[in-house]
Amino acid sequence: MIAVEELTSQKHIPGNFFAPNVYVQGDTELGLIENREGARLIALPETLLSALYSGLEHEVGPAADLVLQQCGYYWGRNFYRRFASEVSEYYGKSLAEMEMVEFLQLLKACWKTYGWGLIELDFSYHQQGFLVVQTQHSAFAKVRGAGEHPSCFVESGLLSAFFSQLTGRELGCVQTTCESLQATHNSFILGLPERIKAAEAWIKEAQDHDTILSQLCSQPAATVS
Amino acid sequence: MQSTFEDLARAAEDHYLQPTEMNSFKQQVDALQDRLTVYEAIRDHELVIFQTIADQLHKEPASNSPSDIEKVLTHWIAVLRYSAMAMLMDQPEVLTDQLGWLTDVVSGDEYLSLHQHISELLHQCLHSVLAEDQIMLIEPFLQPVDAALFSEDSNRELVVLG
Repeated sequence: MIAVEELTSQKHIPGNFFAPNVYVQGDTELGLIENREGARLIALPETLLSALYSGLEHEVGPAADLVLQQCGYYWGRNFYRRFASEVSEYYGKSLAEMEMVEFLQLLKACWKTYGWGLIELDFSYHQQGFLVVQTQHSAFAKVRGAGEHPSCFVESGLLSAFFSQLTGRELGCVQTTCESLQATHNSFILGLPERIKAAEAWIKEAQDHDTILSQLCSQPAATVS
Repeated sequence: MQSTFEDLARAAEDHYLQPTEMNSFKQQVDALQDRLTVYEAIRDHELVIFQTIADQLHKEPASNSPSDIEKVLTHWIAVLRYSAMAMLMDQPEVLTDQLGWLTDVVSGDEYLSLHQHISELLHQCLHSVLAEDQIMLIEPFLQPVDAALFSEDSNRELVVLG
């Protein structure tokens, strides 16, 4: 027999921690946008992103992509720490103790509430050692404008750091489709760096996502450490 | 608090509310009073509603474990709280912001019949504690829950309240 009174009287029934109307708070008088835990958030106007891209390209030329990826990487490490800490505290369990569906919902909700667009994770290639991530409505892609190759380097670095921390293994990340190249979404493939590295050349050859993924999966298993 | 109030509040930019606008404002106040009454009724009957549902589930052969039933029931308690708050505030997003979480974490075929059963029992219980015109106020805020749980459309996040 279920004692409903115990259920209704519990301290709180966890809902969506990242519900936008609850998660993002602010005090315009103090110039603050904060999350519900009081950690400061910063809204990036498009003009600032655009200026960052232009400034970097002007200062370091072709190395700008690498710099942006590194920025994303450091951002991702801190993002993971905040995500793990806030979520664990609210739900009363660590990320490792969560069911996969809970974790996925939280990451999707967080991504959306942070204004990064939509994110979907595809574990179909898990057995081959790869994780496919798709994002949509990326401000980073929109501001970057049309180019020859995928250009969400910040997100690529962020995803690499986030999933490296989550899995406890260093993971590389390559982007295979990009909204800045008129694709419907941005696709990223994550895997061990030595396995992912081969994809960088294929991306420069403008091979499509499916071909790249297929070639990665057909790599000899011996290369997996 | 709700869009109509906000729209009327913006009128202060250039004029005092005129008779038709005052009427609209008064209607909003009356509607808010009705919603408050429904909200209080649901709040005060929460325990009765869900104990009735739990007792009914207990009487019937279950394909889910007791812990699963408790987990799903807990989510329905939360769903009704968010639905009632969304109705009170007349802000559908109070519910939609939660639906992805509340439905997906207990989704899956193994829960489907349990969800359907709880949903039916919940509607029955609400009919027993609310008048028909009160049901009409909360119903639009329960339909999206059913749609999110039972729709064949896998992209549940796109479910939008009308």
